[in-house]
Amino acid sequence: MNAMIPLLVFFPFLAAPLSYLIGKRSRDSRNFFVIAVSAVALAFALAVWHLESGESFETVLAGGLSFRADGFRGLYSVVIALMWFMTSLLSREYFSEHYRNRNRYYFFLLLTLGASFGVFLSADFFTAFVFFEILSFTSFVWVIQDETPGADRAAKTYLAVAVIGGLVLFMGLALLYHRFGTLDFGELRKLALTMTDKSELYPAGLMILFGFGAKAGLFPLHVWLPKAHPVAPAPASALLSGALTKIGIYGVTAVTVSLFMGDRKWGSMLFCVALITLFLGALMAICSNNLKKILACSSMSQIGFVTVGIALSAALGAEGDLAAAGAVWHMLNHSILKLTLFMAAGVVYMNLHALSLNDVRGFGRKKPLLAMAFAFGGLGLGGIPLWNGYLSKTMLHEAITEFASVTGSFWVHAAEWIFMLTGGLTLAYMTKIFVCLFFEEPSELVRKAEKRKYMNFLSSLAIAVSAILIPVMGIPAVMRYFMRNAIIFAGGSRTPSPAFFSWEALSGALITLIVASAAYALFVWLPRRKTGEYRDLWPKRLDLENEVYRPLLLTILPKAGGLLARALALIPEKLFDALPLIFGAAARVTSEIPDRLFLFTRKTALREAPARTAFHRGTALSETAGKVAEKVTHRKGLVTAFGRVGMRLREEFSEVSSSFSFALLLAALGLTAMLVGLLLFG
Amino acid sequence: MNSAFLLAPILMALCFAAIWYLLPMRTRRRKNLFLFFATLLVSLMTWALILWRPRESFEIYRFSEKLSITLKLDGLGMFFAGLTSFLWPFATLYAFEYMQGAKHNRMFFTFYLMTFGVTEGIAFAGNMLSAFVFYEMLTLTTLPLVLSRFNEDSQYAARRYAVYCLGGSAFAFIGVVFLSYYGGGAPFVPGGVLAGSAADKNMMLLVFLISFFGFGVKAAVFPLHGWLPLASVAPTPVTALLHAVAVVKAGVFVLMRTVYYGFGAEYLRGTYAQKIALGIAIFTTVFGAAMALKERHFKRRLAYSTVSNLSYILFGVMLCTEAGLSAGITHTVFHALIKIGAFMCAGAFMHQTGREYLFELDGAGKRMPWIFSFFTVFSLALVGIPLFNGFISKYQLVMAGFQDGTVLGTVGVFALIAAAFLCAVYMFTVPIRAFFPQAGRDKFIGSNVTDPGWRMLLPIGLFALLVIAFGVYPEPVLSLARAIAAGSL
Repeated sequence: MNAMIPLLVFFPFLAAPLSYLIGKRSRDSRNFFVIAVSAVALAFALAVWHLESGESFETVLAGGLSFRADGFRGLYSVVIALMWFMTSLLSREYFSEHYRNRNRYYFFLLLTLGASFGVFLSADFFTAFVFFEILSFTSFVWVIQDETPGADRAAKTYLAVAVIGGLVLFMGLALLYHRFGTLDFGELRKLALTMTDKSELYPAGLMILFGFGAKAGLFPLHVWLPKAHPVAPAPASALLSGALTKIGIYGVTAVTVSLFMGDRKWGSMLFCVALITLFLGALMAICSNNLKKILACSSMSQIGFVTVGIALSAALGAEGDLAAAGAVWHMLNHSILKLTLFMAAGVVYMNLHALSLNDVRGFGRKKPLLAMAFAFGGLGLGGIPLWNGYLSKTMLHEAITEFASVTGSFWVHAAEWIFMLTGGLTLAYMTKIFVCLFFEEPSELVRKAEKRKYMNFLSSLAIAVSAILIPVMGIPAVMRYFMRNAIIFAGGSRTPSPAFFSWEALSGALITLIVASAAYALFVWLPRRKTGEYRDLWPKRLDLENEVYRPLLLTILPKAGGLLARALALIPEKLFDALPLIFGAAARVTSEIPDRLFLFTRKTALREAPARTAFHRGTALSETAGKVAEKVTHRKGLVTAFGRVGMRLREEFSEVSSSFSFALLLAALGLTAMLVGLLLFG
Repeated sequence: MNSAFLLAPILMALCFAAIWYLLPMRTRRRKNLFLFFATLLVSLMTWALILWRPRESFEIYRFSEKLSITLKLDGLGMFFAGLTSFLWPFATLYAFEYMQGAKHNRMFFTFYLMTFGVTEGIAFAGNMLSAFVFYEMLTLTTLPLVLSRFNEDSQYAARRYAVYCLGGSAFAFIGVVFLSYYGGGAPFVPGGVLAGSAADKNMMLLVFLISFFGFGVKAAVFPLHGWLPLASVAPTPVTALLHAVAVVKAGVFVLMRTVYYGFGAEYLRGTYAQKIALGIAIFTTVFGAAMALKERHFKRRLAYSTVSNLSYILFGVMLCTEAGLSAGITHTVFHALIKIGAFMCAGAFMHQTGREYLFELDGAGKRMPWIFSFFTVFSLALVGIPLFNGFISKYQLVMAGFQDGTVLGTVGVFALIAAAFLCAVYMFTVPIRAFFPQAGRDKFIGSNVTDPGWRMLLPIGLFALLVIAFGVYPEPVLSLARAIAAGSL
């Protein structure tokens, strides 16, 4: 059945507008429609997982889309569909009270479902990128759904990270395509394996890692995550945390496995990033006093755990089976754990409209189902034997020990200790939540909000089923069944079966317990010994977004760029004003040239002859003529007058005779005379 | 078809303009019908010519052995004629509602029709001189359109427009003269006319640079972009159609002609002239985007965005490779669809609310859901998000830049990405403000504001649909662009 995959990917896209139209008529039919759509998607996903087919479309979108549903891809599509199904069950009740724009929410919920399938079933980077981008924008609406100032700010950060990440990713992919001529995961892996020196792939690899890592929430691009997850509606938080971060991880895995298998340098770099992420996330979680923020920071930390597996799988190469299996299984575990926990937190919020631990404390009393959800979630995340987190963390731990023995480096041993310490912190912050909700005296708010029924049947069903999955996934046989060949995607070859219940493995859990008690005492019991208040212990100034990224991107760069742009924009402005002046000046200069030349010649070559001795009385001719005229007219003074006229005539004649034109005239006359002579006598 | 028919669309448009001016029509209905069918007929004539293409050239007038005014329709011309004649009727439809009640409508539509004919003239021109003649006429016929509000702002904008364009074409003329002299009248042949010519290469490269900046005025390359943001004082149908498509794309089109059909890509590739032109284009992409980000006026922001995007195209063109040209052509088509739609949305907002600044947008999306949904589509496309057509053309440009292999090609790719990021910021501000107003600010838009009528919505909706359709299935445009670039059409 070749049509199965495109059907799975595009059917939510078609259902989305339909749900919008139905929602205009009736809210409740829309809710059930969305539940039905996710149920159908789940059925499709199961079918796709079993069929393991592949499909490509050459001509669409310039690069062509290609899908494959083998092992991991099929498995994760099932997980995605399951998560969507569970959250849509909860959404019906969660959104029922004073919520606006529900139609918009459901519309984008279904679009994101389709896009998530698209990413997880992609067989090449191009397809993954296309759906990754769609999903960035459709999930933006989830974050801003509540339209509170906090949501507004978090959503804009989310969008900025998505846009920058997307563009950098795009560039990395273009570079990769330029180098290899293909973006298919399998072919890239084959081509990259033939290369001995991978350093020329680092620019492209880092860009791709940047893009996907931003979505996954890896340090230092995690800034959006602890802010966006808490402000979204709870069902959306569950999906953001359980599904969308995994899409980032999918990309990180894909780039690592297809380009850098066996590359120690890349593996170590990623390992460092992962360690910082997991420790920082856990530290932020235990310092926080907001229910959903603790869970969000915990997501970040768990993403770090998964990345450790991927990094080691690359660093260890062929011996990386344990690491690969740990990464894949922890991904799955975390999805289900966060699904359960965020939905349970959603139930708390639905009843109290508060998330601060001070407000919600004691809410869980006499609510066994809620207690089960939080307990299973905490035990699973903490890595306690018999729960699912134990299996994956044990495998990851063993992978680190292996890496340590291979390299023999002190730093890897230190890393192992950070790993163990973070496991303890994880258990500690989950205990903090659990104690607060179920053992504390009920707060003012909780007492007021007490109702007979705190959630309806559908919501309880969703939470119960997700919670029961957690211990079930802790059985090694179940893990082996589901993993099958999923591990290939993470760079492994065969699902390993380490001794999960040996003393070495169990001692890890014991250390976790000891560290957890110490951490609980230090971070929870000690600060609230006096007042009993839960305080936010995280220093406000220690915020990468507010202290570095926002000032840099919103103030420093625009200021500098703005100044530069202004200065550059002034060039044509000034040019426009200056051009007439320049041309005017040029025209004046050129038109003055002949005048100046004339004056110059007057002063040099054609200078007036020096004046002769003055004729005071005129010439003899003028004197005679003057005397005759005086006699005739009986008037006096004519002699001098005649003399003056004569003098002027002489002067003028001398000027003419010394001028260039006169010379020319004479020359012309001479030529004419010659011509006439030639004509007459020639 | 007989090649003399190439004259038909040009003459028809001019005749219709004359009829419109000389025979005033009484009712609005009759006016609209006349205008619409006039543009539609010219469009259909153009499309008929494209479909049944006359292969020979048609000589209108011959000045001397080398100089003549000739029409000929080749692949590149077909693409430009097809693009403009497809958009024109829709813009006219939009203009009816927008220009209702505006003054000087008679003059406005006269020149509007004339411009149509002149634009087709540029597309059909068969050699450098004819292209130049129509190019000059385009400046003259569009000048009154910029002026059409007759207030101080538009006078200033028009004066500047005239100075920039006429000044630019004076420089461009130098190129035309040299090409015509050394290239035997410079008929448009793929690969250029200078191969094996006796001209001194360094001098010709200088001439190329001069004419690059000359024609670059209309393509708004830095530092000659100043007229374009100013010209957005013109009514929206003009800014949308002319300052996002016809005029600016005419500049780009003539540059494509100059580079690939005049001087020749091989002749220019690797020379200092190509590097300077490429560098200017790369710089302008980022510069335009940065200026758009600073701009608070809705239409001027889009105009700066046009500055940036025109240089995207010029980047492709100036790579002087086949891949570059085909990417440039693709982006020309796709950007035209996106930008005309975005401008029309901006115009609809201004028309319905009387506001024109971005900070007045809060909550407008709830009152005008259609317009701002369409605008969201256009902004996603302009940024280059997959499933929208902008992604396809940017992808082509990036690949062409990498394939080029030179330092400038790679730098250009980085610049494109940086500009795309800036584009995301300046474009997404609009839908975010419109749909998710900051608390308490959404009351500014009165409840009487609604979406505009079908005459405005239909063209915008169609363009949005095409933006998505070409985003999902771009193959027709891509294969066409590749064929044109290879010179096989």
